[in-house]
Amino acid sequence: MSEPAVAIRGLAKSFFLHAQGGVELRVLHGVSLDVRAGECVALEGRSGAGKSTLLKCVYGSYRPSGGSIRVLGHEVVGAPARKLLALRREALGYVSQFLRAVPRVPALDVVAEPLLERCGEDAEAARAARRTAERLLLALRVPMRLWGVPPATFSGGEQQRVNIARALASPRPVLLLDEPTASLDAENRATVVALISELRRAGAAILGIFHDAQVRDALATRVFDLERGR
Amino acid sequence: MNEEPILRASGLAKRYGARVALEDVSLELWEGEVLAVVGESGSGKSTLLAVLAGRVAPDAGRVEYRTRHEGWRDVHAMSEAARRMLERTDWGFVHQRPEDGLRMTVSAGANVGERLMGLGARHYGRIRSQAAHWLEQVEMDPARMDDAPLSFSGGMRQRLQIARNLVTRPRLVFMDEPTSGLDVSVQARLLDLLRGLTRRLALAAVVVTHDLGVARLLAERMMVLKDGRVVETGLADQVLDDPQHPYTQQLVSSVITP
Repeated sequence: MSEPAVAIRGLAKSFFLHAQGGVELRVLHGVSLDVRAGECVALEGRSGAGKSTLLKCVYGSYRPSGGSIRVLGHEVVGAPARKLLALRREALGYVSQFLRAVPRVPALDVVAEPLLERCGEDAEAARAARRTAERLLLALRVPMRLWGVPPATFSGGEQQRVNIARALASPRPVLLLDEPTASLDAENRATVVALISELRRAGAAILGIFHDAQVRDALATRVFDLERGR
Repeated sequence: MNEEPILRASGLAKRYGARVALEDVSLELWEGEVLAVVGESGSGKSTLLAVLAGRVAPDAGRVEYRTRHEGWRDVHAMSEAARRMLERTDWGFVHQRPEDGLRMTVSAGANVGERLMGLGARHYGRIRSQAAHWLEQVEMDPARMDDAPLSFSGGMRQRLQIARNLVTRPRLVFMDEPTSGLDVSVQARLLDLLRGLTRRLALAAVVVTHDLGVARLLAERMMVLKDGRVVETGLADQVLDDPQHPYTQQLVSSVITP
């Protein structure tokens, strides 16, 4: 069989809290896990087991203390900043529970931004990017009157849908999802589940945290218990 | 993607008397990449910017810039004329105080047009229309073109300074605390503008700031300076979300998030 889209081997992550006299907080020790294309693996474990930490290690925001993470064959652990940025641009998407709102940027542009970054000064490509963003905002029922407004003042659910639309606007082959439906109502939850399932069937490799059992059962092809290591 | 950086510095050191301003600082910057240099007052970040931009000579180390046509050039070994040519064309420098980067008593249009004339532009109508275009790019009303920046607010002056820098389509821009003297709302607008422009024009930039929020918004990469030394580098989210060095941890935990 070909190499999995995500191959994690012996992953360890500790935090050293210098202000507390150098306390070592061991969160992950020796996690090994594969995620293949077309697979959605749900991470399980009590709060504090390191589920979000694992996702952030794969995305490269956290710098692991040991082990290896290969994404589409590229090593993430210890990768130079530029390589990691290129990998994120090409291959790695991350949707957190929270939208990091940029002041003054309207919702539509927040969604279109990852696409716009590839357009440079090509006006036609920029228009196409905005049309894609509009389609997604429509599908996710973000009211049209909000499209021109910066999301800082949106409700939690609206912000989350903008965030998801942003991730789906330029879908990457590897998708990391940290509670993508946490603040959504039933109807929007179903839409998000449908959109994500579609990506998986199209061949995306998905690693996610889903507290809602219904969402997990609808999306996950496999469950990985972080505490038991399988 | 070009496999070589556009700017590289190695082993930079600078002292002012007994005080260490820089000690063994090295970095590389690629085309289209924004690097934030953060640290508190006295950390050496403004000295680093001045050394990178060729304005202050280092006691040790080298700064090299990859020119468009002549390959790598040592910034501190080139002639004064060659360096000034770079400053007028390929480089921009945005000062913290717009008054330091503008001519306050000549018109806004002339402030922008001057850089074009430095490149040999002589056609008045074309210079004027380009100046108007760049004023629009920084969200200024071109109708203010004939007014002098003395009559502008702080935020408008800063935007004018940015337009003046960008009119020659530089590849590399140095920015020294570009938003710190401004009101919060004005600051947000300017940040958004800078963020859009650096991305759209694929500018490489070194941004010095003491504000971690500014660094996160503008930069992909970050470097933390303390007492003139680099204590940590990485992607902006790595340094801010998973700070390793005690000083960075202290810096990050001191930020007030509203």
